[in-house]
Amino acid sequence: MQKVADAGEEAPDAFAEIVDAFLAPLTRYCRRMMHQSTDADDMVQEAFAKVWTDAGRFNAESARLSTWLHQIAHNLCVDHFRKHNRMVEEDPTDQDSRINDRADSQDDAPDHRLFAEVTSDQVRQALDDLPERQRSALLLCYYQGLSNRDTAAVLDLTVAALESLLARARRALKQNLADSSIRV
Amino acid sequence: MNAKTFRRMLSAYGAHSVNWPIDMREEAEAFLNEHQEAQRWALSERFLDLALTSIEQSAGTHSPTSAELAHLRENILNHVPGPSGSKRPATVQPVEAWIDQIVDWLWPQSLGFGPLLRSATAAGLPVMIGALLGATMMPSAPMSVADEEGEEIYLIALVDDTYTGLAHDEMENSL
Repeated sequence: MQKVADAGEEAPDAFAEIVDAFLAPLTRYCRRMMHQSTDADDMVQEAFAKVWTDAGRFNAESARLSTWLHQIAHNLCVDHFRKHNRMVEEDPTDQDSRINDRADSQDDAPDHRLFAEVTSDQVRQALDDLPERQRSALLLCYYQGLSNRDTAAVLDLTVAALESLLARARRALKQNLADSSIRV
Repeated sequence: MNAKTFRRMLSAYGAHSVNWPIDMREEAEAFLNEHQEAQRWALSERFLDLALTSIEQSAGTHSPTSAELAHLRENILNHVPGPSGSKRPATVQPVEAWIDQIVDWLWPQSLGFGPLLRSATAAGLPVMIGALLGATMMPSAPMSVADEEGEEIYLIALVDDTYTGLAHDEMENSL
């Protein structure tokens, strides 16, 4: 990354290496976030263009490269939602980690047997129906393979707030799956 | 690790231990092995984990094909100077480009002027420009104290006729 930031002779080759290493995961993330592959692919291109222009801002001591790249892609997706008047559903309890206490109680969770037989399409739909923040947290942790610290950094949260967000996301997902299972 | 922290961890990260935070994974695995109640809790979360994994394993629309990735890669590297492209414009200093243009205008490369002559001009040009700017921007000779005082009195006199005793018209005529 330093070679890209230095803008020397080796910068284009170093940049191509970064593209090769992160193109697939970032494309998957943007497609999961955006639902439409054309918009998502535009986001990916924009994200890498930003990597090229903002390479000097990357600080290897404060963040890992994959975290920084996901942060850029995530922010572009959220900006896109806002520009196109697509509601970015805020999670009102984002900053309140005390909600975790409630997550301990699983008595109010839907019976898992209700969604034991759901199809992958139903799971995908249930995931898409989650508020943007909850969906981002699940995608980054479960599918993008980011650690809890890295996911928290991408979403600009503390680890405790992230855990709270994840717990709510899982609970909402269970409810969505239970609803879709009942509808089937 | 106690029951409360274990359940909190399960509710956030699910039952797959690979998703558990590294710093608490070992303790959580030990707690899971030791407590039947913990195994029951983990089982209830495992169904959701399986559902989430099912998307990954199905032929989903989110995973780009290799052809799509190749197309995207090409687009990215074409829009941003790639290995075969030129360097970033920011790496060329505007002053250097300007000097190059002047040298080329004085001694066009196409007319066969040698690199020595062009290099000497390029080296001497900033010195010549500096000398020229220095000569034109040099302040004039400093005024003496007597000159400065005389000028000050003259300026006061222009605005206040009590010093000169002249009427406004006469003062204008005397100027």
